[in-house]
Amino acid sequence: MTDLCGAEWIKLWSLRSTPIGLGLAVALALYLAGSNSMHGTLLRSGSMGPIDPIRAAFDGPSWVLPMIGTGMIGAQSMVGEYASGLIRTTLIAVPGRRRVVAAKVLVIAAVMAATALLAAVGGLALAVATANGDSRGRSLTDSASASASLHAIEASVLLLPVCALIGMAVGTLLRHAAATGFTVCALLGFGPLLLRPDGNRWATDVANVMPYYAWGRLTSAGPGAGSTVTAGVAWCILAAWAALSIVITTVVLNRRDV
Amino acid sequence: MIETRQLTKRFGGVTAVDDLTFTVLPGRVTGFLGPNGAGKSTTLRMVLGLNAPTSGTATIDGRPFRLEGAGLRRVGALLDAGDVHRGRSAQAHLAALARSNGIGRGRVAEVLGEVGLSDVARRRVGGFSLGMRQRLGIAAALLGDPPVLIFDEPINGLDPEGIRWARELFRRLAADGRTVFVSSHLMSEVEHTVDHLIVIGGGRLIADEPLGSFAARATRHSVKVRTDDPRRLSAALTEAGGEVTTDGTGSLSVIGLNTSRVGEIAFANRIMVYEVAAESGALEAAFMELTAASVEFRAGQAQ
Repeated sequence: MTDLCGAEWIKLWSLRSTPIGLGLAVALALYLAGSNSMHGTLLRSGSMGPIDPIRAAFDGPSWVLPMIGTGMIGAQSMVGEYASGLIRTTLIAVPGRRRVVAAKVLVIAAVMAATALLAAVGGLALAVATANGDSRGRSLTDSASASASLHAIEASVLLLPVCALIGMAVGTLLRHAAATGFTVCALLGFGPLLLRPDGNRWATDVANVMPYYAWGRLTSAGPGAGSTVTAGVAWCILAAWAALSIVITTVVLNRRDV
Repeated sequence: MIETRQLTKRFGGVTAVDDLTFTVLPGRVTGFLGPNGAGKSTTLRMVLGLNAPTSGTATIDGRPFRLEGAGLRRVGALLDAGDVHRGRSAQAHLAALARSNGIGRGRVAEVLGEVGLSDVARRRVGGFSLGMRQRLGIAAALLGDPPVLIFDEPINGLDPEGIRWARELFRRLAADGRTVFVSSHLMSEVEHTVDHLIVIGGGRLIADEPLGSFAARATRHSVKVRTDDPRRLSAALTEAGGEVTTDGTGSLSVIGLNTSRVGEIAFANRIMVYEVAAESGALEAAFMELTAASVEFRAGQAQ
């Protein structure tokens, strides 16, 4: 298994799109955290001006692009194999398909978790550093704020791997780059923008199980802050997305002729 | 050793491979021939566990390949030179494959050298010519130093030097005692390389025999025979139904009799013969005759 993970690691980093994509995702998260902290969030209506550093660092819309970006990299790990035919070379080298999926899942999830950690911690630090006046002092000393920060970081470290795994499952199902790209954007980006937990019962139920709102519930400052879902359920929703994605990827790859 | 037993694959209503049974033995180069769409690639994919058979079995050294944990040390295969990610360098592509099977980095450099790609190892595969990608595919197949090697149309895109190199490589691998299975849709590509032929048409087995006896199946092609008594042999062959022409130097050209028949007639008449050979193109002719028959057979069945 170590060897297989090593192989997936080489595959991931030998594509130029990986460092560029992850670098951009982190840079964007950091920039938006700082910018949100100094000037208020760019995308939200309502009162503009300086805001709480946690809210600035874990502003929902600011995380949509990193979510889609990691989803795409996850998708690319499967679509790249199918579209190029590399999947055949891979499966001749390693005929046990479940092991191939396991290695991909481990490597992608670990890299995305590290990326998320960098973006979350860096963004929060930047937001704190650029915040002015009393909100800065409060978030550094207040133990409630410290605990909220920790939860928000944990939720984010789970969010991006989940997005990547969703991308992998979609990529395995569709195999086609454009169709996969559209579906990943729809699931992770347009979906949360179109369906909000805004009171309509049906829309609220659907929105609540989206990774975006589950994460927002856990950052307690983000888009799901007013949600009726408990934190425990929100964790379970994210975990369920990950599990479902892994099952889809494994079963589909295992059954299909390549 | 590669074995298929009653191997069958249907895609919807189309039968791509139909009740195919053959064995590919080690120590020789076995050619796998058939016209386009004969089912060669589908058969190879089933052998390699990429496609699941509709019925029947395909095994490598007695076991279905899907059950292997790591494959490169058991089988090396080049199915399609395009089966690589264009964004990776040759080096990275091979390094990932080697790593997945616990093969050291040194071996990557070795096989790159062996196929002549050392100088371009760091270039991205997207910029490679078809011939270079074929060489990369062959390098990947050699990585694990496997006892069984499968190449699907490996000569495509290679330059004359590359073709000669590949032929020598296949012969060398077989001489090591390995099983070497090389597919092609052109007889001319394999006739100088293979010892044994498996020919399929319309998904069915047409021939499974040594190269020499396959060539002898060409009834409409000429056989060259060299003898110390051309006059008497010529008469005997004509009597047996052959059309004989002579070039006046002791060499006869016979149409209508195959090599075995010519040999038998010479032997029966106690005529010394120095050489009996199917003239160049006989294999191609036999291939065309047999596969054309398979196509007609299929059309007849559909009515």
